[in-house]
Amino acid sequence: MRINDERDLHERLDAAFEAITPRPAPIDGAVRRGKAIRVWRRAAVATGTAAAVAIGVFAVPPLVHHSAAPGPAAPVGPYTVRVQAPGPHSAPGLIALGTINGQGWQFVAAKPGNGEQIFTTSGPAFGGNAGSQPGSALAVYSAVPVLFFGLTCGSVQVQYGAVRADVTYVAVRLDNGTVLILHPVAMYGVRAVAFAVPVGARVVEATAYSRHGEIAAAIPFNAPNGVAAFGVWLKPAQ
Amino acid sequence: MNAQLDGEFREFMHARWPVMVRLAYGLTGDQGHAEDVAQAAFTRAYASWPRVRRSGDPEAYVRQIVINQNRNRFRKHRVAERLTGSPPESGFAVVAAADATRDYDDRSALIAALQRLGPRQRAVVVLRYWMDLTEHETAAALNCSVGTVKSQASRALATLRQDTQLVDEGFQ
Repeated sequence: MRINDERDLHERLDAAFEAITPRPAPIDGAVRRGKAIRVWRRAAVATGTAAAVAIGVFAVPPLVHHSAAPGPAAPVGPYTVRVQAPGPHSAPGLIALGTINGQGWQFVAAKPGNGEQIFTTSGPAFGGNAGSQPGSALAVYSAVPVLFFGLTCGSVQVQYGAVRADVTYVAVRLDNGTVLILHPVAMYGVRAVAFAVPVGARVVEATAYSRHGEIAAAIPFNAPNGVAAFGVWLKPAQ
Repeated sequence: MNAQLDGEFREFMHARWPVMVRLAYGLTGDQGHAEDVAQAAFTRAYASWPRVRRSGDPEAYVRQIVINQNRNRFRKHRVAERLTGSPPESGFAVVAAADATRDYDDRSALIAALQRLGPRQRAVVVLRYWMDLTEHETAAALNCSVGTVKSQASRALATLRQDTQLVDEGFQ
């Protein structure tokens, strides 16, 4: 072949690329994720609309409080995160522990009462912001495999929630390519998972698995304040 | 999205999946990355499918996403391209299994030479000489001028002509 023969180059490239055998087209996966993106967009529009309405309603008096509200999360630099389920002899209520950029964290739920539960963050990953706060008691919602709640504690986002009985583990993919595997821990009558990431890191996808395979996946809306909101879970091929 | 649109998309993806994977492979040199990039492109196409099909050229839409994703990959991760004497593993195993030694050597030498080009020159070669886009279409796809396409194509061809491994394989 003479390389200045463009037609011949075309044929050689054609032969070289034709020899590549792609795996079967993952049509169901593309459709499922495409649907989730549409839901995500609608959620983003709805959130923007709600924010605009809120600003319209409350714009007159609260300018003083405006600076105290959480602002948009700054983009996060390179980060490493790890998560693990507590061992058999861990403290009661410990849902998960792990590290963010090598700094440890723990997330603990107290015994629930009157539909509420105290959640406690601890460890150097939270800096001086570790502490406790009340929230709704962990409860299973049968329509979704995991009912995630998000909170921020300093520069860390924590996601936690109760999982349905058929869930054996949850895989959470982050924007830096990390995949966190969350193993549910039994406590106070429910099974729960939790993970922590730097505020500004985006949660790309969560997939819940049973013993038989994938149950459903969700692409969260990563709100400007850095907290991911898991709306719709879609089953495979849905 | 109604069942008819859904069906149209599925048909489209089924038909064009191999081409988009091969395009992405030509740009990335890695079959795994190529399939990821192509899947992400089709996913985005599905998310906007009514608008994409109204454009009248859904393939151009997906192709553009593949090109952009590859460009972003270089920008975001600053992918370091290593010059190696042999082509990347993935993909070539398929090639090797698919054909006889001589053809395999020709193809692998050509693909390896392609990977030794810079990202933009490689993209120009793939779009111009494999996908048969015009200079204007290539310029639009790469968001550069027609003059840049011409110069990059010229340099890429000159580099391929001088590539010692291609010469060894009898490409001159």
